[in-house]
Amino acid sequence: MSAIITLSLLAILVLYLGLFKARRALLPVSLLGLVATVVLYGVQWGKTAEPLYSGMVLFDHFAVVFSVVCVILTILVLLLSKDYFDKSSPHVAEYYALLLFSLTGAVLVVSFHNLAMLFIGIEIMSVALYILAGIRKKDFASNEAALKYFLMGAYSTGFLLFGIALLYGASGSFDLAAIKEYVVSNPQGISPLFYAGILLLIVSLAFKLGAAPFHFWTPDVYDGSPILITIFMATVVKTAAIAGFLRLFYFCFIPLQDFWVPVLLVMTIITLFVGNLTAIVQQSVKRMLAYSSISHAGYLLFAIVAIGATSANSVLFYVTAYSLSTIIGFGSLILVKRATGSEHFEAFNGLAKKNPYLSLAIAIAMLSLAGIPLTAGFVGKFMMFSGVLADYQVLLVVLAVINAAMGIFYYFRVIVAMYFKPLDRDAIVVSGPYRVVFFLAALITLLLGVYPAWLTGLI
Amino acid sequence: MQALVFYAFSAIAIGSAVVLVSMQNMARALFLFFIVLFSVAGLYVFALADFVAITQILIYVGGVLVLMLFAFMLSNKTLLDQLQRGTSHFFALPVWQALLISACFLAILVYASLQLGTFQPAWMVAAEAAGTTIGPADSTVNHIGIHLMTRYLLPFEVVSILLMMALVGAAHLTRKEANP
Repeated sequence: MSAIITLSLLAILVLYLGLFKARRALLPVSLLGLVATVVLYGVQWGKTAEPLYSGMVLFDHFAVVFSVVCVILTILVLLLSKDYFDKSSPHVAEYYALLLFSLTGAVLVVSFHNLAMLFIGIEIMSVALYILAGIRKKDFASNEAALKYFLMGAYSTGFLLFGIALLYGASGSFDLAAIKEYVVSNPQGISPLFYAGILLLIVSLAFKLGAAPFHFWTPDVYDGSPILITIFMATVVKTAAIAGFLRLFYFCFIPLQDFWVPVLLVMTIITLFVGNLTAIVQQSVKRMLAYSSISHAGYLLFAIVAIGATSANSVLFYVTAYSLSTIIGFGSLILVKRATGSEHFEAFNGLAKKNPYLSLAIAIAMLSLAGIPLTAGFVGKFMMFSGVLADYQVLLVVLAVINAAMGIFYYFRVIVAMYFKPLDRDAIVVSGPYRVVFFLAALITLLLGVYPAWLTGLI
Repeated sequence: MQALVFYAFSAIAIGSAVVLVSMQNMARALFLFFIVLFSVAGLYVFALADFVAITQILIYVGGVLVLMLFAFMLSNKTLLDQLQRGTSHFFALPVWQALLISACFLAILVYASLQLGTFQPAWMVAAEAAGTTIGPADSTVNHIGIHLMTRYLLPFEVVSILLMMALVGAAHLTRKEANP
């Protein structure tokens, strides 16, 4: 709880700093506050968790681990944001404040114990992003992204509310423990309202996750938003969405598996194919990463299809690996775009000759996204696939392997462009914070690929 | 008598909503929206949710709809004309996709409500047996106030973050900036 209070007060403090024109202090103060949040979580670790405030939030290991992942990802994003926003507007305090507010929402989404908190968390997380997506007021693509995200997001919120209302109608409570009690104690007489509620919740949560067939907003919004905001959406928001999804279904709906697993199975297969097939034909790296993020949402759904005690671990591992590589991918795109003005694959041509270390980091990220051994992405995919295999969903694994092969194709295009194409420009300047972020992310990706046990024992 | 009034309100709400979405003229659609909102508020009163009915009128009719009217009056006429010249065929592509989604949604809800008679939720049965139901003369506002300040205190406080964020964002997006 202290972490949520810290985060929201930190955002208000940042707004005050903006009021007093202390622009230099914005980034250090935000980073300090986030580090303090991680420390506060660390102090809580290991104590038995009780639902707080009449069962509104529960900081069990699941919640703490995913919150810490979200906070650390935000730290990396903020490090990349040094002098990124300064170019677009003289008022930068609002960017930091909105990112921190959005993070607060994400933390609520991963630690809810009452559907009311889930709803408020999702709203806080997304409303901040509606604003951030349109933060470049004069850029037409950014306006379009914000409007599209806002309209579709508001629509999916309607589904979420409807689903929650139906669950309440059937079980008479918003509390997860009470809903679970209802499901367990009435194995025969589950009300049809409850099933309808589950369907509507799947729709809205799949929307937030960006899974097909509710993915139509993803490419345009990821493409139109400022790249830094795209990084935040693709990492922190996706982490929070899948964690909230898993928390709800793992807590409450496991006894009704026979009903919703087929639905999710079909959605997962569609998601994989839609994401990968469209990513193959893209010419812009930004759009390629956007579409590939849809396919990663499909891999993440594996954990919910094969729901069980190990799901949380595999989601944690996969989402960490995916987010770190995504940060490198989009972060390097910021640099390349700054130098060449283009987001196409050709912009990466010959990068390795003048920027060997940057290219190495990008190569590691792409290998990890493709799922090549010795990177974290491989272990993540391995855990997902073995979870599904243990559930005897052989067909799904076969389809997923085909998709992983497609993924290798388009991720390797970046590597081929960097290493085997002729150079046509000067070296790219990589500033200090970017070096730190890329180094850390690449190092963790490799370390987790070799010693996965560091992360798997946490939940 | 009660059933008659109920069905009258629902018929007005559904009928004007259907006319509303098929309307090409924005101003007429906005004024039909008034009727929809009012009759839905009437239905809330029937469901013994008088607080929700009042907030519906205060916020939606009094606030949101008036804002929409202002936006309509202040916006550019040619822009609106373009909007009104949208697809007019009933089976145009965007229309049937929307139709499909709403038909699916309707089917789910209708199925659920048809089944409800046989599976009445246990908590309702228990409440009826114990006699802890709300009558037309009871006040619900007391309960809402007490629950907001006790059980739902945390969501109530956290919503303030949402509201403040929306204000900050709106102020930031509408701020005039010097051209660089």
